[in-house]
Amino acid sequence: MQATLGGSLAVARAPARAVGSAATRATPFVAAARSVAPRSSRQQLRAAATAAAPEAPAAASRPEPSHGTAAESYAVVEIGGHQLVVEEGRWYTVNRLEVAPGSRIQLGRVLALKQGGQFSVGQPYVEGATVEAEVLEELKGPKVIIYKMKAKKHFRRTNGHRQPLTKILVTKITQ
Amino acid sequence: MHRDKIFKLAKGFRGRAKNCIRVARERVEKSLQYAFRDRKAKKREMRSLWITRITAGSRQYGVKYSQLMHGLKQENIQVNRKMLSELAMNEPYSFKALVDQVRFMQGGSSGGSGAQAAAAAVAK
Repeated sequence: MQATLGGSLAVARAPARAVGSAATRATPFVAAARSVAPRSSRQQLRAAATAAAPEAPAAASRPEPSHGTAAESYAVVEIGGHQLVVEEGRWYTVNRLEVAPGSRIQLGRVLALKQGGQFSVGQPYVEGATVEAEVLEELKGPKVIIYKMKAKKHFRRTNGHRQPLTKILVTKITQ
Repeated sequence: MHRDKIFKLAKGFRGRAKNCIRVARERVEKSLQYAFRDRKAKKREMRSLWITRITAGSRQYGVKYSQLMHGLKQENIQVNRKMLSELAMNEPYSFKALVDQVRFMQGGSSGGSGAQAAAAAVAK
């Protein structure tokens, strides 16, 4: 006997847990640079497409998804204990650098470099290649709760942790 | 209050675990322990994923992962696995250049095993 309530069967959705999405910004792991950079957001792509409407061909009515670093110039740098693919004009979140915000820094450990279609890899570092960046701000990552418990042994520990981070804007990639 | 904190962490849990404190408290404790354990496991899993992707990318050119890593180590190229997997996915020509360099330094390639169906794994 299944009685359908009225006309609308509302499907109750479990509220999505926001744990994963909050962590993508802080962890400098895979795809952190690409997914967080504001330059290639869908709104901006659409705005650029509508602004260049007379030039765009009729087939490209929808903004194309970005294909990762599509044969532009980029560099693989080592910073904050991690390696990162950086492009000009994008900002990245890295582990805290002891640099005041607003100042300019040079990232000297460039492991691989691609400029104008020429890909070069260093042994271990590419000679003479530097990446100039500007420190935007110092921030702390989302809070992570560290909870340890041993059942039936009267042991329980709780700690919180917020990773100190720095946001940098890459301005120039030079060889 | 502590109870409210537990319910906040118990959002999305199944059944009484999100509404009743006695059940929720146990489930939340378990979830925090799993989170602690899995923050460490995530690093291992990601590395394993990168290795799989690098293997798929290099086997396209008939080079095994072990040979590729050995060659890179010999030449003191310190691009790590995460970056290599990104290159293999998004920059196939740059990755091919690396593979070719390794092959060149090792003095000619191993017997070409042909383009395997591992190419499907690279196209992610």
